Amino acid sequence: MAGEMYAAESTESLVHECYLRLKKGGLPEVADRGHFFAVVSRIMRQILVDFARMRMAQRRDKRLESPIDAADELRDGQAEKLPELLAIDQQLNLLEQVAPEAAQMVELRFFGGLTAEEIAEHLKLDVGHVRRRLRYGQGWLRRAIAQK
Amino acid sequence: MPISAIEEADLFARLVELEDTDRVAVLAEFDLDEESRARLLALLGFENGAEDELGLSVSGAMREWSLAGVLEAGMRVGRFEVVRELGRGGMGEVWMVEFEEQGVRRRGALKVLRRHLMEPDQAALWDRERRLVARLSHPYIAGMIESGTLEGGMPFLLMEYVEGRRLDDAVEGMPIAGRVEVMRKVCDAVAAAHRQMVVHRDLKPGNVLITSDGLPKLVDFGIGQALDLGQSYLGAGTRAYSSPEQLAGEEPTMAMDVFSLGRMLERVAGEGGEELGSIARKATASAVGERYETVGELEADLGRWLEKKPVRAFGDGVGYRLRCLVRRQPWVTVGGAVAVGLTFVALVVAWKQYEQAQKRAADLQALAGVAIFDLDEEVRKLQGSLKARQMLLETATKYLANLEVAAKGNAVLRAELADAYLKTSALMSASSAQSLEREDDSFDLAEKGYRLREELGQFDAKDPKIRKGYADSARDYAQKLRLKRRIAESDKIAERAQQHIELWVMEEPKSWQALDHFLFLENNKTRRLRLKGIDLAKENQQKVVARLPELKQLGAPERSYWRQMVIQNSLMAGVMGGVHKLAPEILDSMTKAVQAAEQLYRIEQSVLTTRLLLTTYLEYVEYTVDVDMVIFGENERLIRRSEEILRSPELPDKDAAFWEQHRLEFLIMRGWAAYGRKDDAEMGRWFAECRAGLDRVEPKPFWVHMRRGQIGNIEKQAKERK
Repeated sequence: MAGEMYAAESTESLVHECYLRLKKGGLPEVADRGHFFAVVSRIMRQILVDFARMRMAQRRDKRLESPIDAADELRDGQAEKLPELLAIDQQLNLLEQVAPEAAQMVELRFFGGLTAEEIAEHLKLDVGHVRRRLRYGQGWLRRAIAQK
Repeated sequence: MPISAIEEADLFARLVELEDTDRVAVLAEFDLDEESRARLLALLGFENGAEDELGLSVSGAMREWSLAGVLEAGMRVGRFEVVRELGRGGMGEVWMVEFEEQGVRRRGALKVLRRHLMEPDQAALWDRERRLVARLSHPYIAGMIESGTLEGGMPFLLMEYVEGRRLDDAVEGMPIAGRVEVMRKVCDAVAAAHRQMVVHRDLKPGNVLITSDGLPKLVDFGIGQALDLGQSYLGAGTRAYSSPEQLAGEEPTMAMDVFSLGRMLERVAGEGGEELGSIARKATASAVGERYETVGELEADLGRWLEKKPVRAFGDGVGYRLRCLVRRQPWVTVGGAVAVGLTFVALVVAWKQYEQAQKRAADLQALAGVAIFDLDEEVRKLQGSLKARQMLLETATKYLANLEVAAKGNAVLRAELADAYLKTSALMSASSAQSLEREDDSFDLAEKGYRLREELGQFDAKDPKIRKGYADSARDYAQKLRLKRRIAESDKIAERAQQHIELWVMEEPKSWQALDHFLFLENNKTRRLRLKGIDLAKENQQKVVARLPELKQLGAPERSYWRQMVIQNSLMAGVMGGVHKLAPEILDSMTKAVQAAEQLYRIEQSVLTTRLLLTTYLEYVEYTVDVDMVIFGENERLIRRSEEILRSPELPDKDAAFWEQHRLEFLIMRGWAAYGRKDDAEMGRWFAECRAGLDRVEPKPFWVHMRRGQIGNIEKQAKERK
């Protein structure tokens, strides 16, 4: 119960932080809702990447000081997702170079939380096309990460 | 040959939905080098489950972000070693830290803001509060040791670390006097803070620690008020100790702390007897004015109780206690189940926030407005949808209220407001259904809307859309004025609309709305022609009546069609009124009008249709008697039916004057019909009753004088006949 409430509150904070970052940048002119979602998804991604980098750096420092604690933490599965996120971010940057459309859709899908239908609506594209591009982007990322 | 990334993506798209064997077949069609081919096949292999895997990585990271604090146990920030977490709220975290000071190892409570709150304006607030808290020095308040910023500019407060137990745990097993004594000391500390102009705003048992000496220490001064986060950030525990006005989001006051202390007293010394109960009740009165004015007064009452002197709160009278019985907290509605998840919904919320920031709320409201009114057409189709329409109406009214506030000095919004008036007015007319009570509101809106359009200069607008809106509104208002029998005003406004409507009909010959407006205005033309002679007027009106079926063909709703049938046919009869040789034609037109009015009334029972029905009945009787066609059965039926409607308990009292006018007019019809039958005695009785009624009408509008004159004329004719 309490955990749930806290999570809800924190989700609110993430959106809030996102909003603050937008405001900090002087509220860029946003053409429409679709564009807005693109901007927000990008910011969400940045927030999470910044966070992951900071947290990874802290853990690195800690590992140097007390390797045993850090090993415990790894066993608890605590630290798994952040390196993955950084890998996704890195590969997504590469995907942007080769297939910008697919990269944008993946960003909207995972960082903005939009469904394929919603993406299709906002980009004014056929939903089948969006699904195929999303699958391509996802497969591409997964392969790239696996090969690393 | 090797392929480019774009080609690869396109090929992938073609292959991804195929079966494995088909993939091979399709791939064979392309001249691919082995490496490209292998890469593509590998890619297709990786596609399966990629969504889940990547999604888990990202959502996992989001969750970590959510749950992660600023600090972590074992971290070192600056010269502080982070030991363990003491508390956490939406706004910040408190950690026990250890640090060296002049060679001595010390402990402290380190408070930091959560990342997302480090905004310039919040930093300024934090700074102000920091200085206020620094001034606080009291034995029962955990003091501030230091303040500053950590790496990365993160502001912190280092507070005295208190080793102790929470108030509610610590008082277990303590005698009641001991508990009250602790609460008195807490009050003493809070009163001291108030003298320094610092309010705590988050007083609760968890923020009062009892040291091993049995003395209280208040912690967390500063965090609460530094950040005006709104109630959604308050934890569930905190809400129980918050005053109604605090939950309502009002500015922090000392009275809020009085309330929280009262709640704590209830918690800590709840079973301490009637007197303590009365103290707690006085402190937690819902109305600020009924609480102790200061914490000092509350403290003094606790002191009196400890010395067994009569307390102030007690003996405030039975009424006071009764009020306390019904005391409740209806405000606690925030937070809780709002498990948003990082989804589309949250994004839409953010979008709205963003739009507001861009002052585009106007567009949003416009959208909402249109949606409301479009819905009405849908709701109309449902059977027994009265309730849904009432709800819709409430929504529309709220929307209107918002818009009225927002539209001050904004021409675009005011134009939008004028549209909303028109639409809401129509919605009200239609929704008044059985209760009939909204009609005046509807009239007011029609009037407001029309006036606003005149103010905005829409009469001269170039934009055809605005011109149409103007015409629409003018016609609607004119029609409503006519039903109120404010004929001269109605004609004036209808004339203003005329040129716009003529243009509209030319531009859109297939629009039933345009034709509807046009026919309504032709009606005025007929009336004007009537002044020149019956023939001209009759000719024009015959043309109008002949076009009525067109209205139906163009797809006008039944309501509009039948309304025009009533209006145009009665006018047709009216044009010929009083001419004996035209009596059959008059009867024909009025019969059609009555049938249409009854049809309309069957479709929709609103004030408009009820009035139209009564007026049509009245005209039928009046016109037929006028040309000496006393159609006994039909006239009698219509008069009876009218009286029945007028007796209906569903007619709203607020329209009483109008219904009374109808009653009196039907008395005249009864008298007139009796005149037609040459029964002067009966005629006399009806006229006497009617005259008495007319005398009672105050003030006397024009129709009263007219009807009196009419009675006089008929009586004169009756005398001459003898």
